[in-house]
Formats: sequence, C-alpha cells, structure tokens
Amino acid sequence: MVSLLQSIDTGHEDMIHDAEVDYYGLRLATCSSDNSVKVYDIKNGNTLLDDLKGHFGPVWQVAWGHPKFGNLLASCSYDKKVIIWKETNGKWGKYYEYANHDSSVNSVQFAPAEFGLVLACGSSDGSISILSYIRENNTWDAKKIQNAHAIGCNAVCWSPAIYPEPAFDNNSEHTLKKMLVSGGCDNLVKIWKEEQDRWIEVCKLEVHSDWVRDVAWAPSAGLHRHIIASCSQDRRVIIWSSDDAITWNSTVLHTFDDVIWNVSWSLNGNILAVSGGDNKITLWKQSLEGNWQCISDVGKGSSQINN
Amino acid sequence: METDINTILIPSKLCNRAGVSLAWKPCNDLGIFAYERKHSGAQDKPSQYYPTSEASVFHVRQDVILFRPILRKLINESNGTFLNLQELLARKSTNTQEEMLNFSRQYRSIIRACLESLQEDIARSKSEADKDELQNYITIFYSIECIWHLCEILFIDSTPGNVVLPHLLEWVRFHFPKYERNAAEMLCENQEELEMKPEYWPTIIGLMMQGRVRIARGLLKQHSAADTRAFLLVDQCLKAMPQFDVYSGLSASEFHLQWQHWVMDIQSKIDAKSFASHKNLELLMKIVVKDELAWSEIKKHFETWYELLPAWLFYAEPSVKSYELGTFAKYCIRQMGLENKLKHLDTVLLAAMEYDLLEVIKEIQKMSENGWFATHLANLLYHSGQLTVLEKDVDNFSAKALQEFLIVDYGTMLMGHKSLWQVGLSYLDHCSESGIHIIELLLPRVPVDNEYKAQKIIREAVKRELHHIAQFVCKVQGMKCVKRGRLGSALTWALKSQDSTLVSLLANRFLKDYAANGKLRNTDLLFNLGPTMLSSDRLIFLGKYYEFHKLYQDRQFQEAGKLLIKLLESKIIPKYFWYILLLETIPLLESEDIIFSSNDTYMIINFMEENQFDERIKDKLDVLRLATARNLSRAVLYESELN
Repeated sequence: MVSLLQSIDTGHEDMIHDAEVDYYGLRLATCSSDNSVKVYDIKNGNTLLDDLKGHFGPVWQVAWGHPKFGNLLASCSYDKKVIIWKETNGKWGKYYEYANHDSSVNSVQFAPAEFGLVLACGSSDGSISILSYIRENNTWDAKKIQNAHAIGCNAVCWSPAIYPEPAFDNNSEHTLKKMLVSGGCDNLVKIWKEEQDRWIEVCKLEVHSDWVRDVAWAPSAGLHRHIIASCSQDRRVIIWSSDDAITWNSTVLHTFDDVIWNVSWSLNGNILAVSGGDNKITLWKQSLEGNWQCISDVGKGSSQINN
Repeated sequence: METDINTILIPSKLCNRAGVSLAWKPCNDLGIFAYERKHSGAQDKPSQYYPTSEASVFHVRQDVILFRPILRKLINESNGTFLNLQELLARKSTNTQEEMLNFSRQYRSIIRACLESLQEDIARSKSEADKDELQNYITIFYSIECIWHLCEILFIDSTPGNVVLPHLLEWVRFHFPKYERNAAEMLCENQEELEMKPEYWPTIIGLMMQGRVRIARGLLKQHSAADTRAFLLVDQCLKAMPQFDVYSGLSASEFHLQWQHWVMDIQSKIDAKSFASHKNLELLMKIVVKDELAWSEIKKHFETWYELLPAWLFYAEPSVKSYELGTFAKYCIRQMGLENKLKHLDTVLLAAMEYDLLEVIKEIQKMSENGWFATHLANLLYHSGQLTVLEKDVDNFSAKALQEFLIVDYGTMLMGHKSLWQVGLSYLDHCSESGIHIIELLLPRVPVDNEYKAQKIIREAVKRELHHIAQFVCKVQGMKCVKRGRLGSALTWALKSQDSTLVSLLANRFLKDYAANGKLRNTDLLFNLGPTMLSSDRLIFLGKYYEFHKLYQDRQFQEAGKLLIKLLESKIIPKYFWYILLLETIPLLESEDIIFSSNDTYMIINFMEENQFDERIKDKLDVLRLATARNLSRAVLYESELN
C-alpha cells in the first residue's frame, strides 16, 4: 500500500515545472513558470529556506549537486540561461551563470560525482553543453555539442559511473567514461561519449515516432549492463538495454492512453516512475522473468491525506 | 497491465486539471506535483492556471507496517535468526534437515511472540482505530504463522514414506486450539454432569475431528451415564481404533485391512442399533464410519476447509501420502461449498498442499507485511534445497536469483529507515550478485544526523571495503564543521577523507587565524599530526610551525632556531605568512647565546632585504636590521675564535 504523508505548499504562483530532492532527501527544490526557484527544508516542518530570483523566464528544471562539492543547485530556464547557485550560511547566491545558448534551456543535470563537478544541459537551439569546474583556477570550462537534435533537445541524462568490466579486455584502460543520453524533437534518443576532450555521438536510437520528451539512464546496481528509459509524445515508454552502450535493444514498456512526459528511476534503479498527460503516475518494476509490471499508480482526484 | 495494482489519489484539483509529475526522494518516497509539459518554444506567458494557490508537492510513501515500533522486535529477532542461518551455511557446505527445521521453528516462535505482544497491545489500547490497526496486523501475522507452519511440514520436515497426517493434525490443533482448551478446562473442573455444559458434545466431536481420541474418551467417561452399555461400547470401540505409525513395522496394506475390519465392526454395531439410545453417541460412531449424513451434519463445526481436511483424512484416508494432499484439499473445499469463495490465505494453503512452491512464494509476496515473510521463507527453503529442485521443471528459473531478488527488496526497504538501515545492510550483504553495489548506492544516502552516526556509516563502509564512501562521508562531515566554524574537527575529518585540497584549505584557515590574532588553535591536534601531516604542503608547514612554537615555549632556543631557518629556506611558506616568520627571528637574534650562525644570519638578511618594501614589515625593518647586524658580528667573532 502507498499512502500520502503530507503536502508541501510551495507558494509558487504558477505551475511547478520540476521538483527535486537533495542527496539525503532533506531539502526540496522547486521551479516554476513564475520565474523563481524555491528551496524547502522538508525534514523540519517544510519551511521555505530561500526563494532564488535570477531567471527572467519560466524555470524548467533544477538539479542538485553532489554534497561532496558543497551545496550546489543548478537551474535552467526559458531565458536561455543556466544558473548554478551556491549556499553559504543558509543563503543561496549565484555562483556561476552560463548564457551561451540561443534558445530556451530545457534540461539540466549534474554528472555523477565520480566525474568531478560537471553538468550537462540541453537547449531548444538543438545543442547540448557540458560545463566542467576547473579547481585549479576556479573557472568553468564549457564544451558544446552543436546540432545534437534538430529543432531542439528536450532532455539530457548522465550515465552512472561504471568502470568497464575488466574480465573481457585486459588492454582496455580502466578509466571512467563520461556518457550522456539525450532526447529531442527529431524523435531520436542519442548516446554521447567523451573521447579525448571531445564529445562524439556513439549511437542514434530510432524507434519513437514523435518527440522524445524525457530520457533516464538507470542507476547501475553493479550489473555491467546499461538500461535507459525514454518516453515520447507517441504515448510510448521504451526501455533500452545494452551490454556495451553501443548496441541497444529496445522493449516497449507500455503504450499509454496519452502523451508521456516524464520517466525517472528510483535510487537503486529497481523502479521506474512514468507520468504523463493522463494525470497518472505509474510505477513499474522488472520481474525476475524480465517482464515489466505496473506495481502501483498514483492518480488525480480528491482523497484525504492520512497523517 | 495487471489488475491488482494499488492506486492512490492525490487530493488536488490542479493535478486533475493539468497533469502530474514526480520526484524521487531517497530511498523510495515520491514527491508528486501538478505538472504540464510546456513546449519550450512556446511564448513566455503565465499558464492558464495562473495565479494558483495550489502549487503543492505531495509527499507519497509506501506504507511500511514493519516500521511500526510494535513490530521492531520482529525485525530485529528475525534478523538475528537470518544471520545465524547464513553464518551456519558459510561454515559448512551441507546442512541437515534437523538444522533447517530448527531455524524454521525459531522463525515461527518469533512470529508467535509477535502475535502475543500484538494481543497484549490490543487489550491495552483505548482507541477504536488503534484496535482495528492492531487487529489487522494480527490477521496478517496469523496467516503468516499458519502458512509457515504448513510449509515447514510439507517442505522442510518431510517424514519417511511421505506420511503427513500426524503433522497435519498437529497443525490443525495448533491453529484451532479451542477444543483442547475446552477439554482441559472441563477435565480440571472435575464436575458432575459435565454433559450439561453446552460445549460438552461440540468439544468431544471437535476432539475426535482433530484425532484426539483419548481425550474424547476421557470426556465421555465424565458423562453421568458413562456406565451404561452404550457408553461402554463406544469406549471399547474407540480404544480399539488402529493407529497408523510408520515406525510400527506395519505396512500400509496391513494397516488398511485392520482399519476395514474395525470400521465394519462398528458399522454392524450401528446397524444393530447398539447406540440408538443415545443420539450423540450414534452420531459419533457414524462419523467414524464416514456416514455421509453424519458428516454433512457436523460440517457446521468447521470454520474452514483446512480444518475439515485433516479430520476427513483421519477417518477416510488415514494413510494418505503427502503428494495426494492437493486432491483431498480440493475435495474438502467442494464439501464446504467454497470453490468460488477462496480467500488469499486459502489460495496459498491450497498451493502449498499442491506442492506448487513458486505459486506459494508469488502469493505471499502480495501480503502486506512488506516482504518480511517471503524473504525469510524463501531464504530458508532455498537453503533446504527445496527451491533449487524446481529449476529442473521451470524454464529460466533460478532459485538463487529468486531468493536474492526478495532479499534485495527487503534490505533496500530497511535501508530507507532512519534506524533500521544497518539491519538492511546485513541483508544486502547476503546478495552475492548485486548486494554490495546497492550498498554502494544507498549507504552514502543515509542522512548523517550527528557525528556518532557518521562514525557508524564509516565503520560500515570500511567493513565492506568501500573506502571511497568512508572518505566521502568524512569529507561531508568536514565541510559541515567548516560551516559551523569548528576548524579542529573539520581538520580531523578532512585528514580522514584524504582530501588534500580540503586539508590545505583548513591549514590556511589556521595560519590566517594566527596571523590575525596571534593564537594557534587546536594545539593538541597539531601536536599529534604525525605522518598524516604529509597529506598537504600547507599542513606540513602548519605542523612544523607549531613545532617551532613548542620548542620556543620549552626554551629550547637552539632547536627552535634551526627549525626556523629550515622553514625560511623551504619553499612552502604561504605568501601571507613569511613576515611572521621573519619577526619570529628577532628574539632569537637578540638572545644571550648565539643561535644563528653567520650563514644563517646572511640568509635572514637576504630574506629581509628582498622584502624590504613590504608594508607589513616597514616599521619593524630598523629593529630587524639592528638585530641581524648585532648577531652577525657576534657570530663572526665566535666562528673566527673557533677556527
């Protein structure tokens, strides 16, 4: 059974576009069409910690940095900017602003901490930027993948930090490879890899028949196997799996009644949450036999909150 | 899509009008909010819902009854048993049925203790809602106990020759104890005319149904008419009932023959109207000879089909083999008219009697005790070899994978609890495939409320050789201390985290503090740095500088002077600190004994002249020049005398 514990009134004046909980699940960051980003303490009484003003357009997404790098939060907006915010003594201030996109920035995500302080963002101008913090001189280095998706990139997501399996190839270098998955208005899901300071396209996954709305690379629980979920305007959620991140198999998780907007994995990658235009969130789990089963759903309506 | 999925409704009109999206919260909680995907190329204008006062995030969590304090003992004790079992298996490759049976009984006694404490609580609780909740738990754990006991009989405690009836009777007596309890009470009372009690005959019939013939006879002897012919005859008949015992040396067919004779004998007595004088006695005897009318009359005594089953077998198929149970179970379900009314517990028990172990495990996963039952039972059955045998019959089935799948879920769930995360770890440790990697993902997410908990997490990480996680926790703790201005603790954590940048940052803070107010903090810590000092140049400098201070305080001026010269020569002086070192030379230059040689003094002079235009030493320059000149003359004279 699932139950509703509490509701947190964010006080945003318009629709919330994203809500993210920090590494330990103690704070919540939300962003909205009202141009603001808000941070709440959800451990002690859901108090508003700060209201971050700095964007001049709807804020689409927020992302928490790894606590190893201090308290960092990134947000991306319709105003073509990405802002990295830093908390000092309880107050959030602008730490870095990136304004090198020609159109709305739709998605932002920090890389796994193993890769250092790095973030990726995808924009409606079709490009993806990768920003890396250089500790030595306290600056940010930006690399851009031009024309990643025609008409626009809707979502980016990092691969978990997986060391290549040593048993197969003794000559391969045992270093972490930075990889990304992105989805766009060209109906494609693309996999990118950093190769000697450059980002190259590893493969292009063509199954969706309409805009890809969201992509999510599953956290790896030690299996040397990659799993990605993608969802699209074509009402389908596809699960992509691969052993080498080069050749991918696709399985349609389900064809829904309406457009699917978001997919996201639980912390250890065993549950996939799917949400969309049918006002429903469904939770999916892979059974031992490998089938995907819906285990729970959360819908619209007017039930009571059980305290 | 499966039909038996849980649905929860979010009480928000905005969610209903727009749509919903979600955020994960560690470990498996959800934050749900109204959401509408806007086309990023659309115009920047307020949404159609603006302004809204309903922009809320709803926190949704799986209901985990195991997290209720009343069930804490169950979790902890079963964890102990689980770990003991895994430890035993690690020590030896083979395990006896005896040992497995012992573990199974331990688990059952934990369930029993849990049921008892729930019952005590229900008696104490005042509110109706609490009572309902506790009653709900009792129902759940009663079912678990009942299923576990049956699985123990069928899968773990298999007796030679597949003889199952004695165990089944024991099972039914355990779960329907009222007849034995009533009988004990009545026999203890030692009252005249026991038959006047309304429960007298139902108890006797109940005892007969559970195979308690001797106690039934005992009760019959208390009847005021016990000396009449009919009663004596009944007692004689019951006394002569053949007992099937696999160890008696009697073969099944020989027993069968004896039984037939015995039944025929009673039937002839019934036909001769020997018991006709007494309705209840006649009913009893008719039950014994499987008279259909009699059986349909006593059906009302049975609460369920599985109470009827052992009774029916006792009289109809006393030598029943375990693999025939399924057929008879279905027969009893039909007899009770329950074919289409089977509840969840019925389904599981039937599946067990049909030896469909996979179905049992599948079904018990649906019970709402969050996987406790399925995890522990599957683990025990796996180690008894009962799951592995299924691999032959079922395609793509791996017994090991199944039981690990359950343990992963159970362990992950516990990891999400603020005080049960360590118990969760101990389960994940026993998943060879993915356990350690899941720990790697979840352990660093355990919120660190205080230093004590941080130490605990670090210990758990180090125990599993997850050093990077230990270092990560140290670093986060270090950062926290910096924020609170506790530099000493921060440095301790930073050193443990082996993060040289953070260490340097902190060493700088110490030195700058000293430069600003002339006090060195946390001298104990600095004194005991030892080899950890090497983790950063800045820390080496701090450590050495502290050493100089210490020597100076202890009036070991010669040594202090040597160290100071070494520091001045070294390339590790922070820019903001060199002038302090220079000033520290003044008292040593002016001391009675000659501390600096002429060479040392030249070096000090060079150093001073290089920086003569620096604001920070401007007004000390004269004093310094005088001191160095005086010391140089003393040193030169002294050195020339020596030569």
